Amino acid sequence: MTSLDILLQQSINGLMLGIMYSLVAVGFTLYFGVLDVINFAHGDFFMLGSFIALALYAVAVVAGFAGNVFLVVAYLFIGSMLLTGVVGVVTERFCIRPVSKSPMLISLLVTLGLGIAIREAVRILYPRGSDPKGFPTLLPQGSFTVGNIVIRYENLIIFGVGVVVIVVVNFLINRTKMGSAIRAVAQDGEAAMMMGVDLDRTIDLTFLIGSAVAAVAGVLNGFYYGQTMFNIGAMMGVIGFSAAVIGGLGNIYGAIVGGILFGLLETFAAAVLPYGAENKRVFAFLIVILFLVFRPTGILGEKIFERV
Amino acid sequence: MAEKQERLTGFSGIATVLGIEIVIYGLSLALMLVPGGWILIAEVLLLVAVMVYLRRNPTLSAQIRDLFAANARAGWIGAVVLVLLIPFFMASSAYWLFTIILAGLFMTACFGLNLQLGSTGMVNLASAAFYAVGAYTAGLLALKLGWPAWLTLLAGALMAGLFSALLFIPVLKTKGHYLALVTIAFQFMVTILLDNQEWTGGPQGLKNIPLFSIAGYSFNDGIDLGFIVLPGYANFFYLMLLMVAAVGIASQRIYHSWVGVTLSTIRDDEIAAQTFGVGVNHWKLVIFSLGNCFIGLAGAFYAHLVGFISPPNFTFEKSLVMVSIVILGGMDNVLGVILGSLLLIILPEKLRVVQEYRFLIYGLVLIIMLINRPRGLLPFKPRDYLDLIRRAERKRVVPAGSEVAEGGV
Repeated sequence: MTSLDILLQQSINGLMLGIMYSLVAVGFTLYFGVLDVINFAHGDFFMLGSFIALALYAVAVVAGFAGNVFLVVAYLFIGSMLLTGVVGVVTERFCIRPVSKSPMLISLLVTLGLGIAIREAVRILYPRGSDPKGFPTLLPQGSFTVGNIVIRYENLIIFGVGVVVIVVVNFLINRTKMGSAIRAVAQDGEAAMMMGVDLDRTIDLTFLIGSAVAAVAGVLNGFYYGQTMFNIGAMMGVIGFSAAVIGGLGNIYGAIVGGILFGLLETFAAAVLPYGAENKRVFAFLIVILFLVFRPTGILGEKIFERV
Repeated sequence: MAEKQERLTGFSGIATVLGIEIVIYGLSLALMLVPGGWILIAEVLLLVAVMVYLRRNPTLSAQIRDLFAANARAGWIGAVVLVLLIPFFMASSAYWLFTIILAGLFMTACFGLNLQLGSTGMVNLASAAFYAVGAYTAGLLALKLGWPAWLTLLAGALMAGLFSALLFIPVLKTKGHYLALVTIAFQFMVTILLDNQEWTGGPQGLKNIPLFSIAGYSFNDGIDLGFIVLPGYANFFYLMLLMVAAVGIASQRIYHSWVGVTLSTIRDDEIAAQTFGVGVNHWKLVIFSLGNCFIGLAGAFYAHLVGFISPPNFTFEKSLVMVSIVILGGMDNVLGVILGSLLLIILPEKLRVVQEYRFLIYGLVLIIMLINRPRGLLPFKPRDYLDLIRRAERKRVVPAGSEVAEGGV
């Protein structure tokens, strides 16, 4: 393999990871927009999505329609999105909304506590929840080569689903009435309300979308690694938040760019740096810190001025 | 007025103060020593009942407050004696004594965190990372170079202070959510690095770190007093008390000094503080380093207490526990930190009965508490300067005996 091949191969791997990170980062950006809250439990919705898919798959096996691969994959994605979305809205109503006006430290701790509660609930409620759980192999295995680069069908599908979801979310936010309500609330909640936007409903919808998208990422992640575990959410939350910040918090394109950038950083660090495989995240987080120091508004963020 | 003063400070007043202290002390000890979960439920119900009763009767709670204020000295002496006596009741339950020592370590660390979080308003979610720096410094120095424990304690604290320098620029240039993210990222970096480095022992960590010994006296031996043999942890307990007292008094002094006032202005309005000539950046860096020194000191003590440290001891969850202690206890409040550490370290041990649900309960309690009581158990009070002036005047008047002789005030 030439070094160009390695570069391309790693870029493809990085894009794969990056698209999943983007899906998580989108939620952070949306919530920050409408409620000014960083939802640190968001990573746990990602985890919850994968576990709900597992439970749904078990149901499908019992009901006897697990044989039809296309049907079952669609059913897993849609079911997991809906259920995770509902949990997202309920927790938003009872835990996150009450603290959205509190000092930042309080909302931070509440969402962190919420993350712990979700994690532990999954561990306790799911049978033998402390162990890693194998994910069913539903996507086609095998691969094809372009030049010297190996592309697996499974990865292609994961990437495709990720892109489709991002396009759909983008459409929802930028082209629909609901989306313009969300954007209006993000700019100025009170003004939006005076113009007739139903604030509560808009915030609920935002959390429904955000959690559902995180659930998609969780299911994709399960297919990609072939397993899931109750404690993968904490790290994913930090990565998603980092990605949203690198891109520019509050900007949906920023979240996508940030997520892909984070994925690329990780894969290249693992491939190029000495001891990279173990320390790839150390490198990625270092870049995040540098970003925060030298360009705190992210790649696509606006310049913020502090008003006195 | 004089009669009231008499009634407050007389023998009956002191007896009441000590009586209340002994009752609280007895209930706390019973909570630990009585096996089973029912005692926890019973005491929580009792506590709620007392709190509701006191809230209904503000005069009674005001009286109690006056009583404690009037007999401050007796109250403090009583409290200190009772705390010193704790190991005597724990002679046969070393496990609980260990838990109390652990709570003391969290107090020390959280005094430091409180300086950053509570007094200055700097978010630090990497406290477990600095705890780790202290612990690994002490462990490595003791294992590789054979330094004595008292020296490694200091080295651990200093090293944590030095490591703060890595975050100096982010601390100055970011705040709020962004500073939170920087410190979380730093926390994860430290845990990952500890896991991967050869010289920190990797995932296995450091084993057989020598426990404390001073001039040949090993802290692991029990104390034989003739009539009772205290477990070896009693040594650690008294050393821990010394450390908590030193760091706690230092924190309290900082709070009451002009430095504390400076920090408050930075927390409340950074721009206004800067406008009035407060060296905001200077104090942020000083407090960030000093706070981490305290955290590192506690970490170094931890290494010598358990003798075995590994990366899972220093994860993000531990940072979270420390932040919850500061917030649940009450920000910028030394007593709040003490109360928070006792509750958050000792109660979960009691909840081992429901081992499986422990963290779930922890998460839910955190959410419910913060939504309903965001200012903590002992809410932060604005500084009472009038009281300070009054106290200063009293001091000036009382020893002189007569104001005329002094030429008036």
